[in-house]
Amino acid sequence: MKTKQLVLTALSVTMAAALTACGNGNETVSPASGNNAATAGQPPKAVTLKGMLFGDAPKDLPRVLEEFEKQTKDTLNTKLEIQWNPVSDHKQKVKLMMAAGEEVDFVFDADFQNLRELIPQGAYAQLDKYFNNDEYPGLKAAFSSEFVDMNKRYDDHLYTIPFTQYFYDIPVVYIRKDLREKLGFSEPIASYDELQQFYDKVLESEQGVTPLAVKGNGGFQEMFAPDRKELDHVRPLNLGGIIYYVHLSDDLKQVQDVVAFGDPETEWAKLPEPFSTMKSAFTQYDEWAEWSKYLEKDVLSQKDQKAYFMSGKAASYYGTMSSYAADKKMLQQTLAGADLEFFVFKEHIRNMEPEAISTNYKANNSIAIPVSSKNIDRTMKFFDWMFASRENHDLFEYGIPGVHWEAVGDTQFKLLEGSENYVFPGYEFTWNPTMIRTPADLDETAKQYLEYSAKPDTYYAAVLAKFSFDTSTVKGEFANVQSKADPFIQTLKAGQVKNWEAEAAALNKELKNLGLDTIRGEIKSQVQAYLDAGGQ
Amino acid sequence: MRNNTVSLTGQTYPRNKPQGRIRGFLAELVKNKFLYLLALPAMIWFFVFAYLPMGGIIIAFQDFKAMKGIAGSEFVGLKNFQFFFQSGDWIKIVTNTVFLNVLFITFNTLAAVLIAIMITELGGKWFKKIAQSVMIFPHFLSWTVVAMFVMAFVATDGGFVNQILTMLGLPAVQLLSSPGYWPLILVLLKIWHGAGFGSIVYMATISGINPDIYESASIDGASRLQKIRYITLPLLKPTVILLTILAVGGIFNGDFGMIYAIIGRNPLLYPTTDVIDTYLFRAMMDLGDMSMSAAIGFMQSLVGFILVLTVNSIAKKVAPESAIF
Repeated sequence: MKTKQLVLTALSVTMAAALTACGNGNETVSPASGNNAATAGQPPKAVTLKGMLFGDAPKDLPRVLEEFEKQTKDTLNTKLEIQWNPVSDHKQKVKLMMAAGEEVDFVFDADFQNLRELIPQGAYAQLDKYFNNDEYPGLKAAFSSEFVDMNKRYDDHLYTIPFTQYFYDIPVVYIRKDLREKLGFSEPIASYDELQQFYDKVLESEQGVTPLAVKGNGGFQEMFAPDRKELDHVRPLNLGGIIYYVHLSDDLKQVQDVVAFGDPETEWAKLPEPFSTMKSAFTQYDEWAEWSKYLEKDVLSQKDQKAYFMSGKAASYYGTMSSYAADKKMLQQTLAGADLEFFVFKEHIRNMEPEAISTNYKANNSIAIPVSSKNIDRTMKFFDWMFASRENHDLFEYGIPGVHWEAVGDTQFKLLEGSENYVFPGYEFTWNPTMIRTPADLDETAKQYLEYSAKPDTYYAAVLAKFSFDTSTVKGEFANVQSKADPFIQTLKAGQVKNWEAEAAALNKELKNLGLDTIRGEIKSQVQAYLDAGGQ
Repeated sequence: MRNNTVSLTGQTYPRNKPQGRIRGFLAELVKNKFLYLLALPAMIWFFVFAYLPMGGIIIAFQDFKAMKGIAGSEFVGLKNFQFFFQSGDWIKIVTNTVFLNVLFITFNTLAAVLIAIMITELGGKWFKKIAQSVMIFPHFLSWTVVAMFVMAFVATDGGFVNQILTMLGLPAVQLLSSPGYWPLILVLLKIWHGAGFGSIVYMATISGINPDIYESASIDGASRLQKIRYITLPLLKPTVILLTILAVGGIFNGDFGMIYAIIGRNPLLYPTTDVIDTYLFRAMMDLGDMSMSAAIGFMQSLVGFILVLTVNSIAKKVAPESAIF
C-alpha cells in the first residue's frame, strides 16, 4: 500500500512538472485519501509544514518562500512556516514541545541539543527508507550511502537529515599579514618554528600587541596535537572533559583496558608506544605551557578572541578555515591596511595528504522529524526537492539569484548588494557536501584547502568512530566528574599548568572519589557491547 | 487595607469559634466584594502561573523523560539530589552562594536607604530629578553589557584600575586571576546596578511620612540629622524588614545572570564566585538533565522558603508590625 502510494506520488510529481510547462490551470482539488494522496496530473493537496529552527529569521525569507511557492505550486504545493527560536531557548523549547505533543513537522536537533536524549525516547521518526530510494532521487544523489550509514545512531537507524559541508573544519592560526611583513618576514609562516620567531618578534617590537589570541575556555585546542599515525587498537574517547584511552585486543574484538587522564604510570604502561606514558601520549601539554607566554595575561577571561584580534590587539588568533572569507572582510573593514592570512598548523593537512583526517562522518547539525508529524512524507518530499538540484538548494541557502547573489560557474558565488537581507543559516537546513559553493573572490590557497576538505578521500573512519556513550546510567557521576575536571582542563588548555602530570594525578584521585571508576566500567562494558554487536 | 480587615474580623467575631470564623469570612467577602473583585485577576494569575506549575516539582523525584511525560516517567525518590551532595565542592559552593547573597542584600539595602534619604533631603528640583534618573539607569543595563565595561576596568593590560595604579607608581594587580578581590567587585557592581532602583520603594515610604511630624520636630529645634535619625529611619524600619524578608527567600539562588556574564568560565575565580547556579550549569553542560536541575532548583526554593519563615518569625518577635504574616 505504502509503496503504491509512493509510486503514485512520484508519478504525479513528474506529471505535474510536465504539465506546468503547458500552463494548464488545474482547479480541481484532489480527493484526500491519505496524507499525501494525489492523483496523477494534479498537484498534491496543499500542505503547510511547520518547523522550528533557531537564530534570527533572514529578513528576506518571505520573498524567498514566495519564490519557492511560486516555483513549486504545481509540484509540491507546500508552504513552509518556520518558527525561529532564540539560540539559548531552542533546546528547552524543543524538549517542552515534544513533551506537550505539539505538532511540528521538522525541528533542528543535534547531539549538542536534545538528539541523544530524544531518540531513545522515541520522539523522532526513522528516516532510513527515504534515503537511497529512487522515489526520492534528490536525497539519493546528495546523501551517499556511507554518509547515511555513518549518521545512523542509537539502534542503527537514521533519525536525522544530516547537514554538513566538510567533515572537518580545518583549524588554523589566522595571522595579520601586514604585521608579518612589517616585522620582516617576507614569506608566509610555514612551520611552528617560524611562528615562534614571529611571535618573539611581536613581543619584542610591538608593545601592547598579544602574539596569539585564543578563547578562554578553548585555549590552544588542536595546536601541537601529535601528528602521528593513529593506532587502531588504542582509541581516545573524550567524555565529560576527560580523555579516556580504550585499549582493544589486536583483533579489535575485546576491550582490554580503559586508561583515564591522570591514572598512575602503571596503568599507562599497559598501553603500547607512544601511549605508554602520559608524557609521550600528550606531548602537546608541555608545548602549551611554554607557549603560554604568547597569550594575553587574562586569557582565561577571554570570551571572544576574534573580536579581540579584530580590534588590533593581537597579531594572530585561533580559528577554523570556514570563516576565512568573512573574517578577512571584517578585518579589512575594521583596520585600514590590515590583511588576513592563515597558517595550517597540522602538517598532514598542510601538505594536503590523502586520508589525513580521521572522522566519524557524523554531521554536527541536522533536522529531525517528530513521529507526531502527520506530514512526514511531504516533509521528506520537500527536502528531496531541495537537494534535487543546485538551483533549488541555492534558493534557500543563498536567496534569489540576481537579488541576493549571483552564481560564478558551478561551484562559486558572488554576493550582491541585497545579500545582507538574506543571511540564511545553512547548517540548520541546507548544507550538503555535494552542493558547496565558495566565494569567487577567495584566494587560491584557501580555495585549494576548501576543495581538499570537500574531497572524500581526505578522510578515513577510525576504529570506534561510530561509538557513542550513553550517560543515562551514570548521570550523577558524569555531572560531578565534569564539573570537577572542567576548571583544570580549561587552565591546562590555556597553558597555565606547568607541572601538569602531578596535577593531573591529583585531579584523578579526586575524580575517583566522584565516580571516575564507575564511568570507566561503564565505558568498558558499553564499548564491549558495541564490538560484540559487530560495531567497528 | 489588609491590616484593617484583619482587625475588623477580630473585633466583630471572636476567633476561637470555627463556625463564627467561616461566617465571618463570608460576611467579609460580601462586605468588601468590590475590593475582592479587584484583587481577583491577580489571584487567578498567581494561581495559574505560580501555584499550578508547582505540580511540576514532581519531576525532581523522577527520571523525567520528555516523551513519557510526567505521568509516565519513573519515580526515583531522592536520587536526583544525591549527585550534588556527593560532589566534594558542595559546601564551598553553598557557602559562596549564601555569603555573596548576604553581602548583596546588606549592602544593597544600606545603599538604597542612603540614596533614598539623600535624594529626599535634596532641595533643587531639577538636580534631584536628574540625580535620581542617573542612579536608576544602570538597573536597565543587562549584565552582559555591564560585563564588557567590567573587563575594560579590570583587565591586566590596559585596564582602567591598573592604569591608575601604574600612574600612582604602584604595581599592577592581576584582578582576573585573584579570586580574593571578587566579592568586593561584585558587591560594588551590584550596588551600582541595583541600589538606585531599590531606593524607589524607600523614597515612596519617606514621602508617605506625615510632614507634620517633621514640622513639629523642627519647632522643637531638631537638626536635620536628628530628624533623619529619630523620624525617617524608625519609620523606614518596617519597609526595610519587609523587603529583607522577601530578599532572604532567594538567598540560595545565585545570581546566574550576573555572575556568569561577568566571571564567565574563568576557573581561577571559581574559589570565591562559583555559586550553586553556575556550578549546576557546568555540571549539566553535556547532560542537560531536567530532573537533576529541577531537584537542585527545588532544594533552593525549599531552603529559601524555610528561611523566609524563620526570618519572619524573628521579625514578629523583634518588630511585630513589620512581619509579613
